[in-house]
Amino acid sequence: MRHGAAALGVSLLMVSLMIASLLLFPIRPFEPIQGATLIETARLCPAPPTPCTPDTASARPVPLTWHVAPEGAGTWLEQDQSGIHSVRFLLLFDRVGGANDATALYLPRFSDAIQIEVNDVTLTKGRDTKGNLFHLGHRPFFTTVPNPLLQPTDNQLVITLSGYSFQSLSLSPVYAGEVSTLDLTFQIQMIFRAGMARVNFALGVLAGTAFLLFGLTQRRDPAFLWLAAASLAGAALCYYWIYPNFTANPRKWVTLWTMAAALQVWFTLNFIVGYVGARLVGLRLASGCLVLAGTGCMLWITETLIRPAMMLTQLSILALSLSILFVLVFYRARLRLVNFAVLFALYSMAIALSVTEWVAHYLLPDSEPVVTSPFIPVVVVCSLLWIIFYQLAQSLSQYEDLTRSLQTTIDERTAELHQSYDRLAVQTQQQTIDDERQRILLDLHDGIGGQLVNALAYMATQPDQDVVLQTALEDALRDMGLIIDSLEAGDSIATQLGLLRGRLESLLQKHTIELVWQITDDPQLPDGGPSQNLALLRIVQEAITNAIKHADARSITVRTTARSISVVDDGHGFTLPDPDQPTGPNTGSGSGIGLAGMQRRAETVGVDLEIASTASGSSVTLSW
Amino acid sequence: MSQTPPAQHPPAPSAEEGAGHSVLIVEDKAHTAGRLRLAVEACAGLFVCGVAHDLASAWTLFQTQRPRLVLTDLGLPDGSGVEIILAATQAEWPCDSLVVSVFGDRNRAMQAIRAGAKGYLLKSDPVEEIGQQILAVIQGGSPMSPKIARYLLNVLGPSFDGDTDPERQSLTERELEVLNLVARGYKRREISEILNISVGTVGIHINNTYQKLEVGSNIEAVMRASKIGLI
Repeated sequence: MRHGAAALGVSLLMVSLMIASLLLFPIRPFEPIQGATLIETARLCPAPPTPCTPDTASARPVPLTWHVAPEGAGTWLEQDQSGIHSVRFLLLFDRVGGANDATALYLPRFSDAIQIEVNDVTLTKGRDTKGNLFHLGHRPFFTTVPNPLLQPTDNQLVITLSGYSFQSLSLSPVYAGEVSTLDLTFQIQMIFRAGMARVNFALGVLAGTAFLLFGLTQRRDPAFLWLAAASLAGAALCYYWIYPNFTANPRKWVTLWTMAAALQVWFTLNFIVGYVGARLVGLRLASGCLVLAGTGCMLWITETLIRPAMMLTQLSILALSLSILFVLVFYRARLRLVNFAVLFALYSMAIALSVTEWVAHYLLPDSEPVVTSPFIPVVVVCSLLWIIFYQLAQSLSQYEDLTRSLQTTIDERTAELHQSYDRLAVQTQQQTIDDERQRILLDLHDGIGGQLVNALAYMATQPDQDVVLQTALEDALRDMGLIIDSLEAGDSIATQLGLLRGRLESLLQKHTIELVWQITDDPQLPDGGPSQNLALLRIVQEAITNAIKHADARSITVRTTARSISVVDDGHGFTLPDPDQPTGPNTGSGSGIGLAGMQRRAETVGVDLEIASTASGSSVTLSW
Repeated sequence: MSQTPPAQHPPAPSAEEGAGHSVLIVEDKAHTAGRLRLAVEACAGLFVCGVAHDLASAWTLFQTQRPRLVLTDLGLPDGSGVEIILAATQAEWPCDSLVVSVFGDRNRAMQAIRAGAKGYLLKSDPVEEIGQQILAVIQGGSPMSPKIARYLLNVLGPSFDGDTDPERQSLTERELEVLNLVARGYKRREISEILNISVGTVGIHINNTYQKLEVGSNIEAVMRASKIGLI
């Protein structure tokens, strides 16, 4: 709530400051012009059919700007049956220049339909002040008076102003003088009033159509549809300035432009609410109903109520405009600072202009403020253009960001692709190696392995046993088994030991030796691989076969910890090789690679080999 | 199936030579085949109903002799022994199969076990043991080598990435203990002593593990196996 109050306060303060600056420092709009007379008083004429002459006109002149409100209708006001009232002024002016020069009349501000007679000659043919009123209240008036019509002095100018009974009639000072000077002043005023209305109309139609097409086809974004609606409502508001007599029905006339103004504000509110990403359904619905009811009711209410209804409707439109400002301030955190600042400045300016217009029209009718209403649509159009420009800039920078991030992503993906290519190449290579290893394994297995087994089976059936050959074949078969195990179960030394045990089974049975198996822990070399494990297993195999074949043991114990393997037997021991005599007597035929070979292998793998032998048994311990 | 008395078996032509279970030997190497034949015949309760040296003759003998057990090599001159293992698994009569292998290479051994083989024997196994193992299989046991146990631990054991797929048949704690001991080379008798259970119970645990492998032979297990095979 505090935020809301603060936002409202800021909005009101901003608008008040602007209104004050417009009202307190007015540019006096009716300055004397060189070469022209500024007529600042007029006499009122009685209602027709009494002619308007110096004799019939009011004795006392009234100061211009002179204003008559419907409720204060005096005797000078003529009221006809069709709800149109009129007032007549008599002004006197002198001819300027020589006998051949025309004299121009310039009326910067009046309300609403106008008829001009000079010396009883009507100069405004085709512009009705009865029936279908030709509403010219929003533009200046200029005419030249042909020279033959004029006397050197005291020419009689009769101005008849008409309007609907709910409109006030007013006349500001009148200029009479040189054609060229007044024409220029008139043209400048025209650009700011009717000209601006035309530009605004065209802009509103163009922008509205563009937003509508864009909203329908490209984005399906309701924000663009609200923008389109606001633009088109703005165009409708300008339409009544461009076509002063588009309808003869006073109710339709007043309803159209008040409703157009109200809807423009309401659509803009809807757009802004969506633009800042808020919902505020209640506010939007309530204000929408209020606006439609307030403006729509003017089609039916009694004629005397139309003027108060107009006042109230315009006030509620102002309140609605303030709520736009309020929404902007309240949700300012959702907008970039520059975007918020521009939109806030533009909308508060539009509101200030509207308020000034309203105050001048209803509360200070006799004052002479600058005409502000033509600038309101300009400010609104500026805000639209700003939004378009800002969105475009945002889109561009987003597009650039997107391109940049896409490029980064592409670079990253390319790098990843290269990496995965490399990985794939490594994998393919590994797969090829594995396939080839499998093939070699199968060849070893079925080919050489099968042949060795077959040869041993053959030898077993022969009467003459060649022990040396048989042992050699059996050793070869066991070694091959180790090689194959190291490739197939190379990561687990315990499993390789288990497999080794299976292959030694027949040898153990032949020698009737008990094997005590104590593989409690899975030994693990610090940086072991298949070849390290193979070397380790070879040493263990050598130790066990040595114990079986040469130690005459009854029992062999194989024991492991995580960092050691030991083979202990209860045989008679063996002679350790003399360092000076590497080939000891017990390392001869049948003992395979021998103790020296075991030592060498242990060094290669980086494990300690400890061999102890006594008459009551020996032990081989590998530790690391 | 394993309790079926031999008398109920369809009488094979050579059954007249002696009572017992008929064994078909499929092995291409003549002397190896001869040794296997000796091993089988040395065992009471078993007799050899035929010896084939290639797949073609093995087929003929398998159909005509209707053996109780097929002992087959895998690398045969005219094909893989896995085919005869499959035939044994799908036979109308009770028929078990065992692989004889030089070293028991893991990939082919697993292939054979998935095809229905009860396990494998090493060709170098002592003659007496070959007959005993065949008898054990006929009585419902399954031999398991450390290599197969290690493989099963890898495929069915607790995974390292901590995934707990309820679909996967995981091993019980006891089965894990048994498998771990088999993988380290312990014999069934030793395992029963260590775990304080009977030898028969060890065999049941081993059989159950095999069954879980068959049930669990879904894509994931195969993927894991092939992944491990790559290492």
